[in-house]
Amino acid sequence: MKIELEKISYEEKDAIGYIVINDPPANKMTPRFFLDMVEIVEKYIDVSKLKGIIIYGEGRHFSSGADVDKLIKVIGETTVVDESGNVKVYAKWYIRFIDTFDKLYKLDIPVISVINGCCVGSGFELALSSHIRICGKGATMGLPESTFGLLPGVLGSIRLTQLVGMSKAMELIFSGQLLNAEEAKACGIVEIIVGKRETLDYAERLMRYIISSGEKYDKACVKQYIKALEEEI
Amino acid sequence: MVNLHNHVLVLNVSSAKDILNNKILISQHIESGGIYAVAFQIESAFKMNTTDYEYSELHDWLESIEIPSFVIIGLNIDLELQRFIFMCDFRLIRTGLHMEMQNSKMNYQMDVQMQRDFALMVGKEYTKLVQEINKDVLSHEELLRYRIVNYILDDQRNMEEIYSFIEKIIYSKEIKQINLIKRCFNAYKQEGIEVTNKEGIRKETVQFCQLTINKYKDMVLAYEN
Repeated sequence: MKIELEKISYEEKDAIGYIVINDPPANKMTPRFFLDMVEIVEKYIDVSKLKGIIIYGEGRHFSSGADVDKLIKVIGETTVVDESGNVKVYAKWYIRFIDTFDKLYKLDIPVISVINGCCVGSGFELALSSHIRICGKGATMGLPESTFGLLPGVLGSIRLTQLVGMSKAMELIFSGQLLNAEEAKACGIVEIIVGKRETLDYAERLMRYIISSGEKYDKACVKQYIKALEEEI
Repeated sequence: MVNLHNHVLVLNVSSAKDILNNKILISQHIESGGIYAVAFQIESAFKMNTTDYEYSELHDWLESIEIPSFVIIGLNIDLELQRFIFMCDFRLIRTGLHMEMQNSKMNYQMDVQMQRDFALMVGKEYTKLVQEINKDVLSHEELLRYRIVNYILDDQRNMEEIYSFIEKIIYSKEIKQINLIKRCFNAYKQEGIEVTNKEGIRKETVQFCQLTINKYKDMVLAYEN
């Protein structure tokens, strides 16, 4: 089964769901992408008997994140504020999008992001909503939202805090600093770095290893899975 | 001694009382929007010397202020100092210094509040970390690797180096943005980061939408002009 939406393609092979961000070269997350993502998760992933999910970007990059001006405009136009300018009612589509990322994170099957090239902003937040991040050499990642007057808006602050602790998360979010693959690995953000042409292959091997282990998947044991796979290799 | 430089308030402190005595002054500066960060500089032996009530007062206050707090550490970190530095958002330490581990295993020496602060500070590796740390002292490099400190200073008295790190955090931001980002993290501090309910994950959404709306207003205004 292969589903081709405007900005995302989705395929199921051997009980693994492949979500492909399909808007090269930058794979920008436009409002259309947000809607496609919600549709893929609600219409297919929610009802499939999948054993794992792999997410990657078509082409050289994972995703360069949201189209900020469009995002500001669409949130500005769809959010209800009171007389003092305080948010009263959130845009429904935006809340559904956040809940979609949250749903991916809470799945009890492995969710692996394959990170190549640029993975920033909401692109990085999608990777943070996965349980395992396989990173290609030369990748760059981070949450630069604060450098243009915002803060991460799709659970990036909580997921990064859970992953690296509040001190490092605050440092990265306040400064908007981007990390290279090695720096991200040193912080514990990515699990392993492989050659950029081997990332998808590695993710599939790891996925097959976890599925075939026969044990109930536990996202707290990611390091053990990778260690065991490395020993096997 | 209190110094105000480029929206950063720096206080030399040697006890928790020094901070509590300046709490009103700092809060007034925060409310007026005059300061974007507060830094506590520690150069000589630090004493908590607080009652339980004062300890909670200091802890709650640092968890609620809407600007980032920094601590600049110029001496080896003993248990007293750990209790304080774990409350702050960012920790900078002079090169060559270390953290004392009195009973080798971290979790044996920390009270419940410190364990909670430590877990928030280092993230999901917390349990592994407290088991792994089985040494009498942690060097400055180890403190950085374990994410217990954010930055190692070549010279603790070199204010330029200190300001350079602080500016990396607050640089080119308006005070409103700093307040809203910090408000989001304060909510995580107060309610914990293992949020599973919808309300828990909305802490960021609230601040994000508020900042986006502000940007949208600017955009509309610029278009109209």
